[in-house]
Amino acid sequence: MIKGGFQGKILRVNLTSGKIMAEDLNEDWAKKFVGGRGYGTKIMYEEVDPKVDPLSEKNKVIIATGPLGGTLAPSSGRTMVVTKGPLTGTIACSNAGGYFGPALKHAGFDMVVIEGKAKEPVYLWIYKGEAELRCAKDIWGKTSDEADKILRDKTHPKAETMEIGPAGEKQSLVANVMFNGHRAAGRTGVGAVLGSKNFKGIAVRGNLGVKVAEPEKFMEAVYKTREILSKDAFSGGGAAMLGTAMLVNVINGVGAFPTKNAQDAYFPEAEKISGETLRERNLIRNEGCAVCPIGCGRVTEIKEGKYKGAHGGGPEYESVWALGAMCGVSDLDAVVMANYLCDKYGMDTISAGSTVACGMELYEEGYIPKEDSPLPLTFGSGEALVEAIKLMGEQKGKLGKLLAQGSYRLGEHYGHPELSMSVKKQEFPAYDPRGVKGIGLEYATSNRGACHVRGYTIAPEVLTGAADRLKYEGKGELVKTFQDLTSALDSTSICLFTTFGLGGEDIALLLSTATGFKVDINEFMKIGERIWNLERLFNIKAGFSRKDDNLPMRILKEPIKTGPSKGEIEELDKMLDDYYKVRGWDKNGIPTNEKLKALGLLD
Amino acid sequence: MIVKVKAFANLREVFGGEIKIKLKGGAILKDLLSPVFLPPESVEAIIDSESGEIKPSILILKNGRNIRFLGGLLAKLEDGDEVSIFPPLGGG
Repeated sequence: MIKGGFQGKILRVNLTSGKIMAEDLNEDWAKKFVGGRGYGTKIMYEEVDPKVDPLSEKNKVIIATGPLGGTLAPSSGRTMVVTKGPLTGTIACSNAGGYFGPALKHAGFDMVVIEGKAKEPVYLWIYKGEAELRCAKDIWGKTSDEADKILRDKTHPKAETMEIGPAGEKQSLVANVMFNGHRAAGRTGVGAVLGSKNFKGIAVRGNLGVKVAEPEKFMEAVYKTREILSKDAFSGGGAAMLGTAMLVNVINGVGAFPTKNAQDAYFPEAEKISGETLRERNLIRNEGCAVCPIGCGRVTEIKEGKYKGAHGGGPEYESVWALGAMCGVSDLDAVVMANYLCDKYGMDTISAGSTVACGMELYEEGYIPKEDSPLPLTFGSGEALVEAIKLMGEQKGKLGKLLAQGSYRLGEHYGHPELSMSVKKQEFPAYDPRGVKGIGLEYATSNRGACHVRGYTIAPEVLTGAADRLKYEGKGELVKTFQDLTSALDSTSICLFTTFGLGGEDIALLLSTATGFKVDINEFMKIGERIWNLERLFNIKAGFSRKDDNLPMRILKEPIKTGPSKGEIEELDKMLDDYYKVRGWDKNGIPTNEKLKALGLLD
Repeated sequence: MIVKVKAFANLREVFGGEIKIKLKGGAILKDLLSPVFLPPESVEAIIDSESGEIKPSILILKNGRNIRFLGGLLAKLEDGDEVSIFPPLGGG
């Protein structure tokens, strides 16, 4: 029997039949995959055919917390959204901060499995161990911030909410799932899956506690980890001061800041969209998630000009980059406004920004005929950026509908998919692999398409300098280590940002004292490796193989034109075989039976 | 020769923003990061007073390259070099 951490209950909601059931958590699965991303992936692997159309009734969505969610463990507010992603066709796990995950635990559940398809729009209200589906017809069409407010008005003023915006309803492939209207589980188009099910969102409220297995030892671990985070210069102060946008100047400073659809990797006007400028120009205050001593969130407003009075959360570093440098835009107010609009429509800022950038290059090259575009879609225009985001969010006209499908399908339509800066059709984030070699390997091999937070090698390759960003040697091992660590971490509910101060052994201690499972650092990393391999198996069954572990041709062939990494290209082949080898996979990237047996994934 | 020093985030307030420093030919980073050229509080913020080494949490780039790979404090400086100094960073 599980002694703590988990509530031991999973809520299964069948939208086709309207039936809601509480099921017991599978203890064996919890030991092998923990919760969150790991357990959610196990459900997907066992219950969903990997070849299923992601937007069909047969796909499922798992809203999952981990065993540290709802406890006093620091920064334990993450909520995972696990499904088959429609943007990529891969297994997908997107996650968000805030307070929703702990509230779900306090209402008595570790996760919610959403399956089938409702005839008409519905939302789910979960309150103190009970749940009911309610009509959402009058919320359908509302923006995420409006839906957040209405859901609380209809349920409880202190309910926590999860919702999709109009983009998810219209099944845009860049649609995200929002929490409280301004926290986003952004990537892989997860919002479209809920839209395809006529599912608007969840409101949740509860007052149950979360028991832990060894209370005294757990609290010792909590105090220790809190102290480390509070004393660390980043997590204890720097993050609250500048937020994640602090990275603008350093990533541009090393010449790895993709600019104008990655035609270059150095943005001369980066200072205008930096964390420092955002603080001076737009910041009202910082904001933290549940039990978080870091508090990196931004609450901002636009104080002057044509967007004066608009306010909201963010932008984060990735959003400032995608909507800023990637589109050549240095007008910070336009970037902040575009970020607010993405949140309202419920769209991933990385994919949305990079898709607009792809559109700008297609337009400037003459591949998008002028009659298709209601506006001159030119690099550097803040106005074009904001209008393009509106077209995308509302799916207005031919171009709006195409933009809403992401950059790959946009480029493909106009005959130039190579201008999509994506892997497995998902747009890559704010680090140019030509200037940071290991992150390219991470993009190529990430189980949910191009992504930085599957394995954040930027920390050793740029921020600490523990590894040389321009060398290829040893990057296979480095990427594997970070991918495995993050897979395990994402299964606990703890935020990735704690790892700037904490080590895997600290998280393992929190996990073992909360659950009573014997988890040391070695077991923690093995859990991570097991999850990574299970995700890989799902993708292989979905039809992915070595050929898909690739990067855009521009990154492999076109040298960076200016800045500190001028002349660099990415030579992925120098790392990929080595990566497969350290993973114990064959030359085609298939996990060997020996490896699967060692991980307990094959009897 | 002239070397440009740029500080970021909270170090910007300590350094007072971007500064240009005139050095003799053949100077190394250690010469630059000293009270001779920089305000004492700036040096204190980035150099460990006991070991005399750069604090492990401080990131220093010379023309975009981490100085760890260029010889650390012994890195040679040349006219027009840009030295960027960052406090502990994170995010993503």
